[in-house]
Amino acid sequence: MSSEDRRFVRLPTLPSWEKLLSRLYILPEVAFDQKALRLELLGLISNDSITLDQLYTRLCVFLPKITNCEGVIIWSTGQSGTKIISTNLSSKEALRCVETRAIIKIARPDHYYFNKNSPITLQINRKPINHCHVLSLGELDSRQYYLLSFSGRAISGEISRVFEVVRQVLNLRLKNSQLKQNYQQQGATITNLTGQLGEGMVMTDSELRITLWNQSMQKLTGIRTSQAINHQFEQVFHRVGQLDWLRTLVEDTKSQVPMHQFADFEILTQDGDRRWVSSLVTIYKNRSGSFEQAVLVTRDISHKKSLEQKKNEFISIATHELRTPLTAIKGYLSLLERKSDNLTEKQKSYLSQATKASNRLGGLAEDLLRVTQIDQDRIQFKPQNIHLFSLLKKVVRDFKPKAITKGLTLSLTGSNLRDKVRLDQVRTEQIFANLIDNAIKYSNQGTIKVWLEINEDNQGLNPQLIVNIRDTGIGIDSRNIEEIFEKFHRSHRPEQSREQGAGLGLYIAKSFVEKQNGTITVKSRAGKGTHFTVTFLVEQTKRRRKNE
Amino acid sequence: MNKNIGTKSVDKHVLLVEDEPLLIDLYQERFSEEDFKLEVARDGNEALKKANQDTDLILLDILLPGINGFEVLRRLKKNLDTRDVPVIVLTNLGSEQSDTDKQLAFSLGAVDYLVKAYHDPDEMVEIIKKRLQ
Repeated sequence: MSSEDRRFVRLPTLPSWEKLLSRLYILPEVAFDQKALRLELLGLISNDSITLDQLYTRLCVFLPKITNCEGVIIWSTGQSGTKIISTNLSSKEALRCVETRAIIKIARPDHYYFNKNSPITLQINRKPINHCHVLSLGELDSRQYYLLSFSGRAISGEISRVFEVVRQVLNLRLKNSQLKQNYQQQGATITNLTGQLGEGMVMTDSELRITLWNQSMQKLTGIRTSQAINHQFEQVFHRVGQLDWLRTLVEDTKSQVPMHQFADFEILTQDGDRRWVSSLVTIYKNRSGSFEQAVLVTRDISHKKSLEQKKNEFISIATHELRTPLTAIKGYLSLLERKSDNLTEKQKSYLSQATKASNRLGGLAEDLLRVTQIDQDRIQFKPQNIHLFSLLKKVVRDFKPKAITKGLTLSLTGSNLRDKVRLDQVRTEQIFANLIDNAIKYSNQGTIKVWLEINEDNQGLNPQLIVNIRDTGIGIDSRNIEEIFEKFHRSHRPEQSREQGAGLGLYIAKSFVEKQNGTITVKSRAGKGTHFTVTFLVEQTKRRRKNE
Repeated sequence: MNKNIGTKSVDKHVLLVEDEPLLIDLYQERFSEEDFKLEVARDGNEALKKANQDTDLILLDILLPGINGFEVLRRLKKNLDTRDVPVIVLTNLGSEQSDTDKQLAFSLGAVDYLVKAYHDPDEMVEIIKKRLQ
């Protein structure tokens, strides 16, 4: 038992001690200030920073002062024999005393004996002792603890009250120690069990102090269990370098029960290695809703991340390498087209098919490249003040021929809003090109309407520019609507499977919208058409300045 | 290999730095119809040898055998004879929008950064003619 006692053992709060002590009657013949003594005893037994061993020692000095007992012995018995814990006598004398048959006979668990008129006779320091108490204090580690006090004079009923209080106090302390030990044993069992897990595991208490840090966590971070246990979660995680994520976690603990959260993040180990880990955090709350415990399960995904990086590098290199032969194919086809006057109609159609195919291949290679750049966060956006309506006009003009070929009407309507918005011209064109291209691809009849509108809140503030693209095409099944922005997503409809594309257009569009702090939403009904909405916030200051 | 393409009276000199035979043939084929003299260098060293004060425009690839295009560009800009010759980086590396390679090329003094795959020979002719004016 050491200062660790403090962490686990919580004695009942002070008022209950007060109550207990109010029953403590100080002998009139003891010439001490009663109040001071009460307070001293109160301080002694209610101070749970005093360990049990210290308390025993102090009681052996203290009890003879406030009662008429002359000697106090606290001892324990168990399989390994009798052991004196504390006494105001010599230990030899104390041991001899508690090993007399008379005492062994009355020292029983969960029992306290007061021999006011008992036939027991003892000799201590060659002095006959007629009056003694034996109090059973409780059990710890399969050992019984007892307190013996003795007096040459008769022991009054008042003294027995004093001892009853002491007994209760010590019994509670002992039980607490027992609980603490059980807790530690359970903790050790959990640590052993979780230590075998491949996953790193961390548990905290209600104050986000770490109570469990398993071996895998040690391996993963280089932080030893002893360096983590009892430390604030935030302090320890600061050393592995991930605070933003942690802050989110702590903030999110305020929401529902229990709460799960996934996060991938990069950590810096004690050895200076960078590792990617994937974590699941679960927050436990008690019935009243206050935070009780956090459990974090962490897996090393560095290998997966490095494979992902290699894949991206491969695609990136492959795409660059594809470009050169493609440049040659497209170049020679264009040379052939310059001289196409001498070709037969059939040859001309072959040429046009080959050109289409090579364009498609080129587009695919560029999309793949763009996706790897998005995944590696390598795309830089250069925002400038752009006039969104003019940009839409240009994109719509570019796609008109394609729409007409399919017998579709493509129109841009809405007021010619003059508001400028800070966006990257090229990337923004790409967003709307992809969305309009998608609308044309998945419509076989009807119209594709593009319109721009402005939206302000009630106070006429926070204006947003909203671009709508609505088609009358095949629509999206509600089952698939969540997936359409995913990489390599293609329509599940068999009649559309002949449509070209790798399923990258919407993924790219969404990434480019979100990278520019915009939002993109979709509404659709199978057979009725699809409506995409892209919203960008107009910068308030710019707008105001313009109005002034 | 140093070819004088065409028989027309040529007064403008364009140096193409390119190591890919497929593309050299393609550009030679198309540019032969135009009113400028095309020279070809197949690696960085050859490019540095062939570029001189009479050169009017350089089309410079980046991935080259030996010294790479960026280094060639750096040396061209150091040389008094060639530092004023406009250089268009013509590569299949990176993208024409925003890219680190493009930024590097501009910081070294390139006047343009073009991705070969994006421009067919006709467009290249237009771009070259504009620069030569």
